[in-house]
Amino acid sequence: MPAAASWASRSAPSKRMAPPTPRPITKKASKLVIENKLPTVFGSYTSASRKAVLPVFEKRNSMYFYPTYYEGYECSRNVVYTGAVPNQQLSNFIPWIIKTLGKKTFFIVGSDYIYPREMAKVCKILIEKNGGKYVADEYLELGHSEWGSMVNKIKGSGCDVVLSNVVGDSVVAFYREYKNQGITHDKLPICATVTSEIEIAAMGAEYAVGSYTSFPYFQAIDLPENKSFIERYRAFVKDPKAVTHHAMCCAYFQVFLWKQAVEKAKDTSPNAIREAVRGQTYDSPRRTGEGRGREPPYLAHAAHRPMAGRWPGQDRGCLSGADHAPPLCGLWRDGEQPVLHAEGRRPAQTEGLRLRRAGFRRSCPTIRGPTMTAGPRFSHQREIR
Amino acid sequence: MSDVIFIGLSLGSILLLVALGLAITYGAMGVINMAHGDLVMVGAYTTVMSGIWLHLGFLASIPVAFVVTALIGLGVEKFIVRRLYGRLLDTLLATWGVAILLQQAVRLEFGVSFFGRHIEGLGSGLQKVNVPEWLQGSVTLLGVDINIYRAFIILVTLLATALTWFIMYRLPIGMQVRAIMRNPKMAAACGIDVARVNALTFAYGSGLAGVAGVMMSGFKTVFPRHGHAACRGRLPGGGRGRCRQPLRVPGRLGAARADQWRRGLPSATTSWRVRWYSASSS
Repeated sequence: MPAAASWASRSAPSKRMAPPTPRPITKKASKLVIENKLPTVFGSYTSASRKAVLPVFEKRNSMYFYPTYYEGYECSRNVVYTGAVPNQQLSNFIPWIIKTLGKKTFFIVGSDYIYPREMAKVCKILIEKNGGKYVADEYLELGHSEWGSMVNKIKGSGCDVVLSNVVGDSVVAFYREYKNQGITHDKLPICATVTSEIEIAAMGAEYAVGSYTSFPYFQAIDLPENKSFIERYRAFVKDPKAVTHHAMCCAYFQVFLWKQAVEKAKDTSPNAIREAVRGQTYDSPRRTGEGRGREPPYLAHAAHRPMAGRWPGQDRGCLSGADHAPPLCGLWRDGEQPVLHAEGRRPAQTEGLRLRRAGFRRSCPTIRGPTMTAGPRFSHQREIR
Repeated sequence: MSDVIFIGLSLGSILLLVALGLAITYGAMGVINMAHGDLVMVGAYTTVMSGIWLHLGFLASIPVAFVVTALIGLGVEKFIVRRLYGRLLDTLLATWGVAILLQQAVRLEFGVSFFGRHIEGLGSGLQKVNVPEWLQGSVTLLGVDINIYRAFIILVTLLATALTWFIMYRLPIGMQVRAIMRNPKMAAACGIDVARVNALTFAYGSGLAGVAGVMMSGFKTVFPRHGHAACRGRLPGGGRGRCRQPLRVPGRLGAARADQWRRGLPSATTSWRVRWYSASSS
């Protein structure tokens, strides 16, 4: 058969009509859930992968523990989200930048996909609430490594702080370009929400000295649990210099949450775990202060205590008076307090984004945890705009 | 304004550096080397590894990367491409296979630190290349902030281009390459060892990819998919996208044009949601 002819004839039209091929991760999830009949699967890394596997877990009623910080607007009955949602990284960070660092004019920059865009939305609400302003809200394609013109734009924008939601290896290119264009973090710091120990190690700490990141976990946290966690992780990967980071910490403690849930329920079925995992607390590596910092998951989300770190060294405690931030994975209506649902009032909501685009704004069923002391006020009502 | 021109110039020079090697192999022997991006990646890893194993600095690793990737290119030519001359689609497919092999081999040995596949001194996942102090930062020249590293890339690109021109137009081997370009059979009839010259050309093109890899490692991170963004552009959707790429490269060797085309593509074929979600994968 003439290869060239078949190629040419097959290119565009057939693609348009063909149903989308399932992604590899969907196939693998299907294998685990349907073929191997696993009641619980411990999660993946990106929002895209989570969205891709959700239907499998919901259809077969299997539990999925997802460890990465993500953009919110989702609350599936079948997922336990142990990473931070936007408000858990930002609700203390932005007031802290404005009040403590005294930086009021923000330049928001991010990679162009759902997570940074949702983060930016929450950022803007918080910036305005706290009396700051933002001069720009710019995005570059995910994985982009050509940051010259963006950094140039930042330089000429008149901002005094850069809020970065840049993700992945773009972070490295961004910070390197930032220094190479002669901007210092002392004058114009980058305050990042996604730049973790991994990216810092990959870019070289000299490029990040003086910049800030907000995360509930830092490798530098001085706790016996964390030290032993780092030690055992380094032994596991046989690398004495391996770094740990927030998503890794969540991936670690979520297994213990699951274990405690199973012990409580004496059952490994998804329904039992869903009920039993609520209110579980665990002394994870990021425990802070006395008696605080345990993990009270709010139905499906874990509580986090946000901290800001200054690179390198991630000096913690920069956020004075920060306490557990309850996960507000749903509603951030412009300029208003978030509203949370009472437990169990809404069915599983996986297409939050689609509905939001269609004019719905809704939040996630949530219950209060025992140790929640601060944070925005709740009102237990349903809210659809 | 002059800032923008400078940034554009440096962007163009990086693309030129990557495309130069590709253009040479395509022009000389009509072979599109799909593994070119992964040779860029190998060059970048050579920089990392020569720092760890040989304690070489950034500059000293440029010739090392050239030699390593040129040798790989020589091997690829000798064992694969040589058997497929004149069969454009087959060379595409074969070199694409080489690209996958290279990438996965690097991923297995250098890419992930789990399960004991770890090399002494390497960090996990993303690797870093230390750029010498004097190449960092910027200088102000006539009121324009010049990013030193970008200026350095432009310089290296100019040197590589000049060297290529010199080889092609001033050395006997260049004359032979040009003769083969015009008419391989006639060149062979005149006593030119076509196989040998082709192998050397392929090796030289691959070596340039290695140099491009060193340059790119200085402002990016190094990881197994390092060469992708530079050379092929990334199409959302992974597997499907990659099948399309063979068609794209011959159209225009410049990555910029391919990039543009790619941006237009998804809107015609997929909904915004698919695009948005799939952008965060890969």
